[in-house]
Amino acid sequence: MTKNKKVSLATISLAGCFGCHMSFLDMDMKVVDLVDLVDLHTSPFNDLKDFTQKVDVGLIEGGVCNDENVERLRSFRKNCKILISLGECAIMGGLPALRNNIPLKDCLEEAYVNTPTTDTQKGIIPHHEDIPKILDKVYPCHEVVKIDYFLPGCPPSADAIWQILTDLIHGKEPQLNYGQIKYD
Amino acid sequence: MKRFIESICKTFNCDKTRLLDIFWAIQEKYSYVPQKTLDLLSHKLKLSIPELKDTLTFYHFFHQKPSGKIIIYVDSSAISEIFGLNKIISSFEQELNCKMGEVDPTGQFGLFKTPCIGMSDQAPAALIHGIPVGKLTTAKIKKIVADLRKNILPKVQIKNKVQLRGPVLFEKHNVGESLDLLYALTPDQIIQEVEDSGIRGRGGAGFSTGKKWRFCAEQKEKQRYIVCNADEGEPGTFKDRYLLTKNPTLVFEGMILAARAIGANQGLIYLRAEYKYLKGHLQSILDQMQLQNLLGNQILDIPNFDFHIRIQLGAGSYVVGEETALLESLEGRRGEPRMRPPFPVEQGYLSKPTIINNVETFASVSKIIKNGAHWYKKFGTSSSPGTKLLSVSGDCAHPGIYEVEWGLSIRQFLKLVGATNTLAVQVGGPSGQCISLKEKNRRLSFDDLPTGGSMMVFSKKRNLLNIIKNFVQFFQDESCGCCLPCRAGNIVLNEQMHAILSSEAAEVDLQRIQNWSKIISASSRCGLGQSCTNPMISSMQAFPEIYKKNVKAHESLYRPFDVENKTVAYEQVVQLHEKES
Repeated sequence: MTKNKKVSLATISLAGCFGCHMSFLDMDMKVVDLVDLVDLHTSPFNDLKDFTQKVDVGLIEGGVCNDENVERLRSFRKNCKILISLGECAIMGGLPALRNNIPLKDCLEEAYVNTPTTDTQKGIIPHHEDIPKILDKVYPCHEVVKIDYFLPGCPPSADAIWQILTDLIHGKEPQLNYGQIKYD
Repeated sequence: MKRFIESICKTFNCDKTRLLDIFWAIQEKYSYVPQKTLDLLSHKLKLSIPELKDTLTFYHFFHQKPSGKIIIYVDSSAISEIFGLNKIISSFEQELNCKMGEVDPTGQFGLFKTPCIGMSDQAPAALIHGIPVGKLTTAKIKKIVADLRKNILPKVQIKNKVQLRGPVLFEKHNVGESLDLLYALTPDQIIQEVEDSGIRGRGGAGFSTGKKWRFCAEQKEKQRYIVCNADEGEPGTFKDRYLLTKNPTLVFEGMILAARAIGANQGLIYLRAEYKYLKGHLQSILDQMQLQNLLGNQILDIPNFDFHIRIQLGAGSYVVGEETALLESLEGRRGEPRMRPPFPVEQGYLSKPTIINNVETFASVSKIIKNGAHWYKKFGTSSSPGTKLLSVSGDCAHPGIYEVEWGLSIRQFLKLVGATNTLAVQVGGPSGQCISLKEKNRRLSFDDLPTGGSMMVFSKKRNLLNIIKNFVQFFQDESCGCCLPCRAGNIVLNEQMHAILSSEAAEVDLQRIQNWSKIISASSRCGLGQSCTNPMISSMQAFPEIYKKNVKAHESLYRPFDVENKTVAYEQVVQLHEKES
C-alpha cells in the first residue's frame, strides 16, 4: 500500500452481534481523524449493500452461519485487497458456534417450535426462497476464504482497530502490542 | 444387577483406585458399561457420576452403549495401513454385515478401529475378543467369522520371531539367578551397580535408571512402590510383548531387585489392555515365583524383605504410557499426565515415592546385577551403554525382534533387517524421527538417534505423506485433551496434512506447520504434546521435495467450501416438519 493515500474501507457483520462495529464507533474523536484517512464503502455504517468498486481493506465481523453469509464473504474476498477477521466470532465462530455440538433439528425446534412464545398451535421453522438457509454448523471465516489478518477480542478494542487501520494506511505491517491483546 | 455390582465392589473392597478393574468386570458381564451401573457404583464407591464418567469415557476399550458381545478391534497403525488395512476392514464389514465403528444387526459383533496393538511384525492384525490374530487375509477373516458364529474363538496366533539374539537379554539365564546376589549385595550396592552400569531408561525418555533409584531411596517417606510400565503403546513397538511372553521372570527379577534397593513391599505391573491375553500367563509365573520363595514374604528368607506384585490391566490409551499419566490410571482415574515436580520418585503412586521403569529396563537390570556393571558397559557406546531391543516392522525381509548394541548405524541396521529400496526409516515410532537414507551414517544412541524400540522401514513404493497423516491422526486421537496446545494443535496439524494430501495446501502452509509445531511442542505438558509434531517436522526436513511437490506456490483466495452439502441438514429438517404438519 502506498504511503498516506486515503484508504478505501468496507465492513460487514455476518453471524455476529454488531458488537465489533459498536467497538469501532467507540473510537470517539478519532473517528473524526479517520474521516480524513479513510473512504468508507460497503458497510452497515452507511447502509451501502453492494460493492461499486474494489476496496483496500475489508473488516469482517461474525462467523459464517448461513448460505448468504458465504456469498457475502466471498464477495468481500473478491472486492477487498486485504481481508481482516474482526473479533472472536469471525476468527473462531464465537458464541453462535455453541450450537455446533447440538443437532440442527434440536436447535431449530428449540428456537421456533418449542418456545413459550410460539403463538400458533404448531411452530413453523422459517423457510422460503428469500430466506437464507442455515448451514449445518457455524464456521470461522478463514474456512471459507483466505483471511489476511486476525484481530482478536470480543470485541476488539477501538484502540486495536484504530492501530491496525492506521498501520495499514501508513504502509506498515499491522502489529498490536501486548496490552492491546491482553484481556484480563 | 444390584447384586452383581455389590459383589464386584466387595471383591475390590470398594477401592476407588481399582475402578478400571471394576469397569472391566462390568463390561465383561454386559459387554458395555450400562448407565444404571454408574448409579449403583456411585453409591458404593462414594464417587460422583461425573467422576465415574471421567474415568469411563477416557479409555477406548470401555463402551457406554451395547457394542457387541464379541468386539473386533482392527489395528489401524501405519504398518497395518501399508499392508492392506482397507481391504481387511472391508472384509470384516462384509463378513459381519456391519460398518466400521458399528454393531452388527444381531448385536453379537462390534467392529472398531484401534491404534497399534503391538503386532506390527505380523500386520495386518486385529484383536478378536481380546485375542490377537496377525497376518490377516480375506480368506482368514472369512474363516474366523464363520468360526465365531459357531462360538469358536480364534487361538492366540503370535509368532515371536527373534532375528538377532544379542549378548545381554539373550544371555543364558536361570530363573532367579540374579536374585542370588541379594545375599551378597546391600540395597545401596544394588543402586551403585545400576548407577555404575550407566543404563538409561528403555521407555524412550532415557533418564538414568541408577539416578532414579537413588533419588527414590533418599526420600524420607518409607512406604515406597515399584511400577513396571508394560503399556507399550508406541506404534510399531512389540518388544515388551516378546519379553513378557518369553522371559517374564527376567522382568520380575528386575522389579524384585528394585524393591530390595529402595525398600518397597508392593509392585505393580501396568499391562496394556491390548496384552490382556498375557495376564493369565504372567499371573501363573508370579504364582510360581511365590512358590519358589522369590516373591511374597521373607523372600529367599531374607528378614523383612517382603514384596508382592499385582498386575493392573489398562483399558486402551496411548498417553498412559507417560509415567505420571500411568500413575493416575493406576489410581483409577483418567490417564492425564500430572504436573512435575513433584516427580514420581518423590510423590508417585498414592503420593508415595515410586520407581517407574520400562519392562526392558527391569529385564536389563537383572543382567546387570547378575554379571556386573563392568560387563554391561562392554556393550554399546560410552554415553549409551548396553543393548537395545528393537521391534522391526515394515518393508524389510526380516521383521521381528533384534537385540543390538547401542551405536548401530542406520546403514548397518538396514543391512541387518534386509531392507532394500528403502525410502525412510521411522526411528522410535511416530513420536521419534523420520529419516532418509542421506542420514544412514547416523547411529542409534541417546546422543544421536534415540529409540524406545520401534523401527519402521518404508520402501520407495510407499506414499510417505499417507504414513505421516496416519501418525498425525494417531496423535489427534490420543491427545488426552488436558492442555490446549496439544488438543487443538493436533487438529490444526491434521487439517494441514489433509490439505497437503488433497493438493489444497500452499507453500505458505508449510511455514504455518512449522510455526504451529513450535507452539505445540514448547507449551504442552507431557511427552505426547512435546513430540507429536516430530513426524511432520522431521519428514519435512528429510524429504522437503515430497512436500514441495504436493503444495501450490500461491495460496488460493477461496477455500473449498461446499454450501450445497452443508445446507442438506437444514433442508431435511424443514421437509420433516412440512410432512408432520
